[in-house]
Amino acid sequence: MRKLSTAKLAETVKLKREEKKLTQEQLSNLTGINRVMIGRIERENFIPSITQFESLANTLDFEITDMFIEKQETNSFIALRSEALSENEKEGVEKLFKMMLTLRQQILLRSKFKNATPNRA
Amino acid sequence: MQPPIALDKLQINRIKRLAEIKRRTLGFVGDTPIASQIFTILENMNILLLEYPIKSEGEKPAFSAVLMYSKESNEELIFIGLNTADYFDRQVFAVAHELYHFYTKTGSHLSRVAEEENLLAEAEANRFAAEFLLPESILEHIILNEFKDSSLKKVQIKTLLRFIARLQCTWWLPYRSLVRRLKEIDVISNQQYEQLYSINERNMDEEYGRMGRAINNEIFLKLNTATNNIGTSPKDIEVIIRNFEDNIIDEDKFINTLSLFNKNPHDYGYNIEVSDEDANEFEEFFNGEVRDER
Repeated sequence: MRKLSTAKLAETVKLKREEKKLTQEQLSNLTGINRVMIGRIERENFIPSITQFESLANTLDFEITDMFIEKQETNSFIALRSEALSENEKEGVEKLFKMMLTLRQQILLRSKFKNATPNRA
Repeated sequence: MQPPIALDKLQINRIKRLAEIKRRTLGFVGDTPIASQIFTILENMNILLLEYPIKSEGEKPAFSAVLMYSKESNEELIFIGLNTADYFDRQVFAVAHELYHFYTKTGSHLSRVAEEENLLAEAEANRFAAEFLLPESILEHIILNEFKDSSLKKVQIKTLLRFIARLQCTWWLPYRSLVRRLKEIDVISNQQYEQLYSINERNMDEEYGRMGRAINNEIFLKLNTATNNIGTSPKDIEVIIRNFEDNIIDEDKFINTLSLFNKNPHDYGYNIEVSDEDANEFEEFFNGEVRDER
């Protein structure tokens, strides 16, 4: 099963917008999406509607389907969660997952940035 | 506790061979201890270490380490989550244990110290960890060299304790792993094994603790301390800082991301003010983000 990755969407919108040298305000004018909402999409706390999604993809030139990832990819983490853990352990493991997902996001952002601007890497 | 699962000769041979190849590939030839280098090994292998202390509840041992994979956009990231509420020597052992799961691709894995001994893969991983940190052939060589005999069955307990303490300070294996190794290679008797296994090796005021401290106070205390570290390697923290410096992430994300690894911008020369209100909002954002990714 595939699911929308808000992280991937946020990264793509921010990178593509910057590539095209657009401010959030300008992108807002081009897409008709409120500037605040664009900020929130880039911060992963807003999922656009289908129409907004289409408008973003057309303006910024990316494939909507690329924003979906295989849910299976994170199955290995989910499997771990089901192991018999005490409450204390669960909390600790959650924290480790959070660290892992955050670090993963930072690394992916970094590698996209490097690919986008090879001369600065 | 159930007795540990016994590996057959073929299994042991395979593990020894794997440990030998991996040690050699990593540049550890002959009697060079891996010890503190285990964390550098992870870094060189691009395995990301995440440290967080998780206290055990009651008698049940808390998990010691977890191996996690993440694949996105054809980029595979490998993480080892380490429970730093455990004694440092057990942390070293747990990392070596997880390396076995990594090398043999037995999948993402969460390990406990004692409970899973009855599982074959766990017994193999433990044997690998011991073999990787201190190969059997080297242990036999040390024994022969020092005692001029390949058996320690006539050696008195105090001498054995001092010998184990010295081995521990050099090779960074937990005391009980060393005792078990000596039994596995049949250099000590059942009686010696039981006697050695029954002591409280973690009490620094008891006989073994005093011996260890007398041999190498700094290392011995370090091995017997729970580090309770929170964080990741400086190399990975650097990724976060560079992302901020290149405007890939904003100030708020920078603060929040670093705080997850027990660091703050000030540690790296950046003074950023953030209001409590903003801090709360971003904390919520962070929680939301994790839910989205599941």
